[in-house]
Amino acid sequence: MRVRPLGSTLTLVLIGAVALSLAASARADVLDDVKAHGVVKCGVTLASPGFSAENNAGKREGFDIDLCRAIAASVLGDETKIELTPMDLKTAFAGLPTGVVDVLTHRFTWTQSRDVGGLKFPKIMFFDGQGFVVAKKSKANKIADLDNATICTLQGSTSELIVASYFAAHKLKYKIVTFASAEQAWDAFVSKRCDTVINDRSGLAARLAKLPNRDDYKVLAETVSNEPIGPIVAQNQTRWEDVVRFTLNALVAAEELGVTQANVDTQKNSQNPDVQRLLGATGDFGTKLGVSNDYAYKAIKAVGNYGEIWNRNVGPNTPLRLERGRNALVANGGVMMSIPIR
Amino acid sequence: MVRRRLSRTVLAERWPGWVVQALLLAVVGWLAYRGVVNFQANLRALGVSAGFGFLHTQAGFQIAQSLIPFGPASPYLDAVVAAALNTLLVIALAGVLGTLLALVVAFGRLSPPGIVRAACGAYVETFRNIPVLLQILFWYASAIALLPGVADSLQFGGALLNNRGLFLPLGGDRPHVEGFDVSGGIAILPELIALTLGLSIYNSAFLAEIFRAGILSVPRGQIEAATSVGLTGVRAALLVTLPQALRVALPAAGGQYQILAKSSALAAAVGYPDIMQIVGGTIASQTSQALEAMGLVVLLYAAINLGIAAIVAFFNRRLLRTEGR
Repeated sequence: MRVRPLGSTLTLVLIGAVALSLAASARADVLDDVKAHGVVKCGVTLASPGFSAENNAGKREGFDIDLCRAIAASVLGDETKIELTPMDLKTAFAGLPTGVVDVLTHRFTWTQSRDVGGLKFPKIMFFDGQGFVVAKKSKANKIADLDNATICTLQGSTSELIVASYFAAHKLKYKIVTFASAEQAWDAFVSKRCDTVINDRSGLAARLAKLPNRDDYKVLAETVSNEPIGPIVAQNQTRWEDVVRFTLNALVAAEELGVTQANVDTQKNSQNPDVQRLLGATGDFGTKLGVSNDYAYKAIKAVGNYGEIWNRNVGPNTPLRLERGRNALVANGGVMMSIPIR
Repeated sequence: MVRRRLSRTVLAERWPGWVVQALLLAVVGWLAYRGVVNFQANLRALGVSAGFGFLHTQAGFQIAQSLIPFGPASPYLDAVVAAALNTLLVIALAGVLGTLLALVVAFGRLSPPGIVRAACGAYVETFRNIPVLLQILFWYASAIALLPGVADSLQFGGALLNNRGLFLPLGGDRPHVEGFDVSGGIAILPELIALTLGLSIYNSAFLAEIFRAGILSVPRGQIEAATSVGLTGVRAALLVTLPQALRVALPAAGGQYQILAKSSALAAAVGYPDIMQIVGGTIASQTSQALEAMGLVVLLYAAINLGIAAIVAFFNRRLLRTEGR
């Protein structure tokens, strides 16, 4: 009897079908994934000076990049083991549950619908608010003057909703033009397609920093919303969420306790129990998270404390010239505080 | 006798054709079923999908151009409908404009004066070889940069033209400048103008070549016969050449219209509120249900393209009946 080629084909198809049906379903534990692959994949903003932008040498740096480096340092011991993926709003939210990125260190606001919809926000690292920028020649000095104005904004951002509710509440009319990227929205504003742009005040400062004629524009004084901004992880990943939360929390705690990138080595021998717990000299806070006990030491050594990250990227000596404002430590009049490490 | 035939079938391992087909169908059907079950289990485990209930919740945002009444209090479903209508509008406008341009250029390339032929040839080569996104962005930048601001709007008839758009009077409602903007009349956004120009010019270059191929397929004898009964020039082209040329050109042209429909998704690059921008962008991120939103986007574009294919097939059948040889 000769072997029917069709019979063997069918057999192969059947084996393949069985194999496919047994394939793994959900995404495994992200913390284990990161440790196994030896790299932290961060989704970042395409181009936001001070937060995530390429410098003249083509290397991406900024506030959000430093947060990613801190996570890599604490989990993998090496702050260079990061993979940065610039993403726009559309791809970023889909990239988390599918494993394209492990964490988003981006400029997205923590909102109820985003949280309940499947994104988790371990810790607020930037307390922002939305504001408007207009041309200095424009007759508008406050938002009430923007009746009937055309507003440029980023599609799908909270700005769209804020404009709708604010203008409806104050009985002002407006026209809106939405773009796929913040860059395009800004370019349209500069070429006078619209009268104003609404964005996070930090984003507005970043844009103005890039302009040679920044004095032709003014940011209106009013802040129209709360924008708590921080890293984002996929839901149902409690271990990874905790690691991200307490790594970044350590950076804030370090500033509160006076631990800096320069003195963290000597601080390891500190007699202050808070510093000892922070840097892993006592307690097992690190091992309970699933990382090494000196995770905070590694993170601080790599990027410095919260204040140092701020000054390096967006502080008074950078083109953005942002004041700490709400982001100052509680002791200095702001709302930035650490979760106690005990 | 039946038993012998059966036993011969079994012993000789000769499977009739339908048995093999049924088996293959069963395997494919089972694979599909397993795939769907696996997919749903993964979605549940990831907690990513939550169904289409969000379509009834309030949108909370405004759309720059909507052919149906829409406001922040309208449900997401209305936003989807408005976006779909915007996409259909730009496809229709670009399709009509592109076809007219293509016909002119196609006949131009075949007309006697050498300069007309050269100009049309240059038109085709230029606009075929520049990526369509660049062309759309070019028209958008020109529209914004070259048109005056609201304060210095160009006036002609009752219409106003500035970098916020083209404002046409609607009945007694004449557009007039009011503060920052123009009130009254119908507003045609610069985004729509740029998108229509970019899509129609780009696709007209390809359509011109398709129509030219069709025109060339019509035997010369037809034009000579037309001349002999007194039909010349444009009338001969429209009454004699074009119907026969379309018989050859329509299948390829139909594909080009589908390309036009799909590349209308580039509206997101210039801020025109179409399906890709509103459903795939705004709704996907406001509701965090990227999967359902992108699924809707795929369905809508597939429906539009299948619609175009159906229309083309209908006209194809009619042409074959009347012009078939």
